[in-house]
Amino acid sequence: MTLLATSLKEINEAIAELQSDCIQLVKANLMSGIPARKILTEGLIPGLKRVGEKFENKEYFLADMLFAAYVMNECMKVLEPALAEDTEKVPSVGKAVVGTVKDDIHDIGKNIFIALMRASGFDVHDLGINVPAEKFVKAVKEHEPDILGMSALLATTVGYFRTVTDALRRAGLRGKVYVMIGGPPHVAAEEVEADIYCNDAFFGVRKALEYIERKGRGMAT
Amino acid sequence: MNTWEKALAVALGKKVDEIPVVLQAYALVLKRFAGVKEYEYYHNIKLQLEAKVAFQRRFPEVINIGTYAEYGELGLIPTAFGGKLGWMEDSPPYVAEYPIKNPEDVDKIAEAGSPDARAGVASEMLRRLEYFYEWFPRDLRDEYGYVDGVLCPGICVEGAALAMGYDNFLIWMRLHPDVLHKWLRLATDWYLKYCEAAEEVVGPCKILWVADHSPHMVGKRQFQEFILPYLNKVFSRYKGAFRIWHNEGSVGHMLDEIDKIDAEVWHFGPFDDEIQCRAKTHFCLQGNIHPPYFSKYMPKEVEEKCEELISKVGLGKFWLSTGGGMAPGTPFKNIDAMIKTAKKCADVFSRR
Repeated sequence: MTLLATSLKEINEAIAELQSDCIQLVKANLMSGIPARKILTEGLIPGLKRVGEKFENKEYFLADMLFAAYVMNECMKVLEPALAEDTEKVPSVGKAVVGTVKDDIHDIGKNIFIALMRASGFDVHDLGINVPAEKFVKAVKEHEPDILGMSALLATTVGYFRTVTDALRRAGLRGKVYVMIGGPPHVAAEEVEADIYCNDAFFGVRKALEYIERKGRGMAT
Repeated sequence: MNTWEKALAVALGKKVDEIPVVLQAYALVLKRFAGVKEYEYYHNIKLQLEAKVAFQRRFPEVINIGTYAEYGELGLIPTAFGGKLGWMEDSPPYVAEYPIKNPEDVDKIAEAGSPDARAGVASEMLRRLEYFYEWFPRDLRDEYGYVDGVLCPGICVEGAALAMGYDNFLIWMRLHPDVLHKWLRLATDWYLKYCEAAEEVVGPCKILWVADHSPHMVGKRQFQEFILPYLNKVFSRYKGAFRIWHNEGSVGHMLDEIDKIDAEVWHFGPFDDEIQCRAKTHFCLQGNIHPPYFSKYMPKEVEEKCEELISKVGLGKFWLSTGGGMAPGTPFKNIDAMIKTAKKCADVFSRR
């Protein structure tokens, strides 16, 4: 195994095993001349995929996901300046607008989803919490995203998903964006005219990537 | 035996021919009885008390664990240490400003010393407790065990988490474990101080109801280190009282550890396997019909789901309920169907 491959494997291992020294490892490898693009695409992202697998296998839990997202964010802060200067850009997979709906302030799931989406190459606009329908509509008009992600935790606020999809329809935007919803399973996607319900952030990212692939093949629905 | 005594006997395994229906109807459901939105429900104590009484009169067979003076329980710990509570028109309150933003804040809090038992929203919560103590109808207190000696201080370790935000709390388990332990000691010491202040209002604790959903966010090792010792510090302080732990989050991955929680009842959720929870823990189980589904089922479906559940858990050490608090908009006829099924199944089982 080459030195490069060994270094990338170490990074992969560090994030997959939730080691906070992953951040130092990324810094050291970047300084030693390994391209940021390679660290991201061949070290961090495959490691993060392993985190997702461990979550699905119930080896990891919410605290572990959050920590992985935290490490990933810190690593991205290290890599971003170098990525910006790289002549060979990491291509953007797609655009997403994400927010927690009005009257709901829960953002753990949203934040993990955003971290993972960014790590997977999406350009994400975070609208924050307690977001009214008109703000979702405005953001969709402005950013023309491929994906609109909405989060809600409370039984009282999941109904607001429908308020947003109705507002999108009235604005003539509903067919132009793939609407993903997340939170506890209080609601089925079809009930609120969303495209898909996501039980967790990793599942959401996988479905977002699948959608982009379908869209690329002209099969997006 | 009154309704509460029967439920207590069932919970302790002393009575096996009944299936008590023990629900948690609180703001989300009771605001409908009051005819107001959530903000007003929380801020009008008279209306709140009337709603709780109206619910009880409508469902005399039910024990409502939500029969306590509600306000900002989730902000109890955060606001005692300088945090701020936020309110919305028709949603529960939330912690709008965290008192702990970085690890150094915990040292500052420690240096300042433990706040007064009436610090933050505690003052208003105790005032409401006094109101309930003065005005809650005597007949309902005697029949259902409400108010007198009942402590409902709300979330415990989870309250400590909300003083810094769940994100920091969970991330600090790995980044700053010593700081987190220091904070959890301070927070739970103060929580017990508040409990003592509440006992001065309602009398010595007979029933302790503690909600804490933090276990479902972590794996076994983190539960053992950061949650179980602090939860049990609170529960063990009230050994001898009847203790209820509310957590509908899934914890099926560590039932052997969950069993170590020093409480008599576990109000459990719809995502954990009832048979496993029954087999691997000591608790009287309270649950676990999925609340949003319960609100959407037809009464016939409610009967089927309740029968199915009862057939799994059997009689004794079981309270029929929703898996967590009831969802808004739950039709009364579904509660009636649950009550009817509990009676029917208890009769059938006890004749066998």
